[in-house]
Amino acid sequence: MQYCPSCEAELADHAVFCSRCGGLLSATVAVDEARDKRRSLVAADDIEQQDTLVVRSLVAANDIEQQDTLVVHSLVAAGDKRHSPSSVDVQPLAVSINNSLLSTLYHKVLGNLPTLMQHVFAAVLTRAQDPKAEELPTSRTSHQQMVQFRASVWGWLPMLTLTSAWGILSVVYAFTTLRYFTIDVTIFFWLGLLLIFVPPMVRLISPAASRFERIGLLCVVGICFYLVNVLDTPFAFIGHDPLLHTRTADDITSSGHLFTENPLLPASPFYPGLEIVTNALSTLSGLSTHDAGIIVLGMGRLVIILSLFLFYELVTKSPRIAGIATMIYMTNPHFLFFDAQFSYESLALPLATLVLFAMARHATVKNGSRWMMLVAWIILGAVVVTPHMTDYVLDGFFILWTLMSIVQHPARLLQSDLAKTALFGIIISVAWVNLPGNPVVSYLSSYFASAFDNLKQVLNGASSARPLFANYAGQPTPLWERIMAASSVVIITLCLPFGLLCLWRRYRYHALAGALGIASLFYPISHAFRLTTFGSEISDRAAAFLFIPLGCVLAIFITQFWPTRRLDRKRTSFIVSALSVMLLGGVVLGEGQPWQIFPGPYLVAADSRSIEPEGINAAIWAPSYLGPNNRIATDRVNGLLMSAYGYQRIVTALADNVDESPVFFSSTLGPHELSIQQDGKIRYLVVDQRLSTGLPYLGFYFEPGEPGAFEHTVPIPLEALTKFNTRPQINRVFDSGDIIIYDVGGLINAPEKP
Amino acid sequence: MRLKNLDLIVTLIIAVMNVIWILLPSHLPVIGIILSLPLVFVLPGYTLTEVLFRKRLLETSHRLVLSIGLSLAIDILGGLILNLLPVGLEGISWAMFLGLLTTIFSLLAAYLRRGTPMNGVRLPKLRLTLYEGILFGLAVLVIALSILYDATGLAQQPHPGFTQLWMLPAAQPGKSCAVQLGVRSFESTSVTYRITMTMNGTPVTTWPAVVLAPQEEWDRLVPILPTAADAVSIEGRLYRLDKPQAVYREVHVTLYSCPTSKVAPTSYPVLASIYSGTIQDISMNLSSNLYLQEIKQHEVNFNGHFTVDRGMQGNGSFSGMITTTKHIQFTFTDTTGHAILSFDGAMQSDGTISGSYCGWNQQGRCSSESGLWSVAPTSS
Repeated sequence: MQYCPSCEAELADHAVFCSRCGGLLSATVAVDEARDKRRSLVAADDIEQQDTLVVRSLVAANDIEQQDTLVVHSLVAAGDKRHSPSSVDVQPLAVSINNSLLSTLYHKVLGNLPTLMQHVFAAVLTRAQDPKAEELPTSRTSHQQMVQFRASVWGWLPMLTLTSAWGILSVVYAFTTLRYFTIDVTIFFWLGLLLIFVPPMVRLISPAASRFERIGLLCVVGICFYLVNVLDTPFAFIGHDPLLHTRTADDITSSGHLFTENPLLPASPFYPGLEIVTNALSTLSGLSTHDAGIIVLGMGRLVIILSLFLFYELVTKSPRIAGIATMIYMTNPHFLFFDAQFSYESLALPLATLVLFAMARHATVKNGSRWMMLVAWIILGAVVVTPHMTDYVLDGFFILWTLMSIVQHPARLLQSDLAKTALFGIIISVAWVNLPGNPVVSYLSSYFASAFDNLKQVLNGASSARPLFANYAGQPTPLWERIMAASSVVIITLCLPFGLLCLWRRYRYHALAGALGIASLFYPISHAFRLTTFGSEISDRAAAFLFIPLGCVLAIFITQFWPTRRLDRKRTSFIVSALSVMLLGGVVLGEGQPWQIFPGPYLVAADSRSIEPEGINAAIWAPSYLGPNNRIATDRVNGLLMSAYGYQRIVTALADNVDESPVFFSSTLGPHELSIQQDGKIRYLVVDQRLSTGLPYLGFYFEPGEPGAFEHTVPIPLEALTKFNTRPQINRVFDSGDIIIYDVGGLINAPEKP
Repeated sequence: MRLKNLDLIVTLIIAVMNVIWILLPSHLPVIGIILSLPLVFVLPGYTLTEVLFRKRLLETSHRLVLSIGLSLAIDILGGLILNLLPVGLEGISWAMFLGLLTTIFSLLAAYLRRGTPMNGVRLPKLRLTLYEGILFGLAVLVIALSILYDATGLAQQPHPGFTQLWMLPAAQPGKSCAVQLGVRSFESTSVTYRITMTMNGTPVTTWPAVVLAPQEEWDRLVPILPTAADAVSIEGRLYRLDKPQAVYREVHVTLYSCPTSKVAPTSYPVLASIYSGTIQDISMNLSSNLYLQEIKQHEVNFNGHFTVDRGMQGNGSFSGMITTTKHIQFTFTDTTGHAILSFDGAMQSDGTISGSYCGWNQQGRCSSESGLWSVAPTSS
């Protein structure tokens, strides 16, 4: 054990920097000691003799990796009791490699390969298990530079905050220009993202930054990315999911109670975590739901950044790896927009990562671990009522983590707090699912059944795969965006095996690291759903979870394969370029085509691009003159608006088992259409005549299950939408040009209110 | 209390102030925000963290993330508890719940701290140099400007203008029928509309010139007295005066079981074909002769030729409407088709008509030009 001369924090023997204040310790001494250890270890009768043989051949060949080879010896022999930190509350990670069976196996395999291949494999394995990958350069100049860099706690944070601010301005310039003109200034958006991401990334890869600076940089990048989403629509929540949850939040505010009905997303009222916190802030401060929601999500963003960093730091024991891993997480397709919107997952993910951090911290705390477990349980309880999928994924990960732990220490099953936590999580999840009226089981089962069925059909050849990089209105994704998206997936998929190798060589006796490694394997599998129509969302949504292990695995890969002593501008540029491709590709994968990212004129059935003043004001008109909670049938976008702004009761297949779309598609109003309206007890029809002007960008006008969904070849005929004008029993009560509201109460004798 | 519990004292003060604030009859939003942010996002979690870990186990970053995260979790679980209470999730219940919880945790933390030394985790020194301060200041400035630029751009984003027209059956005392007719303009400039209403195809009433500025609303409650017991179909149409032939918006409702009129339909006052009189511009103290000629009336609506001489001078056409209560409105349009003057008045029992007028500016609103007018029927 050693102590930091600055803050007197207790640190592990091998520490070079203080993990608390980032201060430089006696690095020269540490390096010298390490050299001594290497010599003694090389001489030792190593249990990994096979490894040693391979390495020795490389040494004899005057390989440039000589130093690495020595390092391997030190690692191999490490066993590694001598390097085990003995600080008070931090237990060591096992980094030894003593699996002789495996060693023998790969020796036999490697032995039969050509020398060049042997060389490559040996180099890869050497890099993968290098325990000194984060060791500082030993030259005097480098040390002086390090000390100079650390003269201020803030480091480069102020300067890089300014560059990120310029990135925000660049993004805003793109948004504002696109609201006025049709000229293509999208390059400023991408440039802005890179300005926010790249300079801090360069700094985080550098070993010079202090821990405080790293945390600061991560917060700056995370908040700036959040601002990108906020500034897209700063005055109101515009988008499918935010409008759904706005309705739930407003219902809570108006009724003062939870579990109100939301037919557009019946599960939403049963998972009201986000809405509860928003309600607390809005009722206490007087802020609107929108403004309070913006602040709540901003706090959530701060929590996810901090908790991810701290979680990764506990796994890897390195602030540098933790910083890189957190930045890699930020490249996930949903981080920039989807997980920053007013939706339950946006708050659940921060809480879930906090639970992971708490349990990881619990594993390293000797005194007071039960209290840390209590903290984890409290937050886990909050996760259960926030979003369903995050809760289930978290439970699944805890099971995996517990299994990994049990495999390593079978005798500890009954005493395992991890097992207790997993069990607790499962019990409260099941209890919540069984809450009277909770529709989540049927909601998820029907969705996943459709997705898996679709995937099965695609794999069997019974159905054609969903065309990638094209929307249902026929517009293709720009070529460079396709390249970025494909490259991001390829980079991650290619790096994943190497990352797992590094994890295996360095952390395989660490149950949490092992669980992360196994979880990351789901990433390539998740992409299979991209080929399906119904399940493509699974790939994107899974990314928010899978990038937690991926961030760790890939960060370890980066730090192992480009150790700090070998880092130079060229290598740093290479790494940052690859991560930038992952970021830009991730944004394209997550948001799809440019129309989903950028503001612009109205588009047919395109969610946020279909939301404009005429629709909003029609919805605002409705409660004032029709009253709230009238049963209304309409298209997807106007349904959202009529629900969120108009407080109307939208009739949906999800909540009512009534598909009202034939009423709109049919050219006549026959008995079948009348019976649908009677079944749905529909009082008003809201008809948007603009639907007849184009194909739906989302693939459907009303609901995903409508006739011809994802296969429309011609728009709805205008005659079909205007057929209601000729029936005397139908009152045309509202006309704003494109949007017409019909009162069909006289036609079907619908009740006044539900 | 000793100085080492300063954090807990501040915590208690904020919790109490939140409760007091929510009980006040009037609120200044900024203060509400400043007070509520720590209560919702920091204090419950911070005080619970202090109770569970005191100051010996956690470093600053861990303490910070647990304070915020636990506060969020407490909010969520607290919401579930408040939902069980009759008062529900209201401002006062939130203030009481979070304030009480924070107070309990604070007192517990203070109790647990007794006898422990003051120095816990030493925070790293975060002194900013002038250079660093300037850089941070510039960053904040750039972000603030970005937000302002974005908000301004969005507020001024051009959208196609539109107008809402609605007509709804209105409940009337004594089960008489009526419709509520309304117009709201979301056009980019002031627009002059003409609104017509028919009953079973027969014109009932017309509003010849309704001028609405952007965001302005116009509505009327129109009683319906059908002559027959059958269903009555009411149709409303909206025209823009700059495109008078095209129906701009259209609504219709069918009313059932309306009480029929026991008497013959109310007759509209009959206008003479020619009127002459005076018009006086009050602002300029100028009096002129006014001639309304070639008047053609179809029940409620009428139109004709308009001439002013001696002083103001001008001629053109006019159109308007007269109600059964002898209230008259018409608009004078010049030879280029622009509405210039709007007249409002009443017909007297001797057939004379008098009232006031105002001139319209380019935005279609009454300008400073206004005055009085009076005409009497004249034989041709």
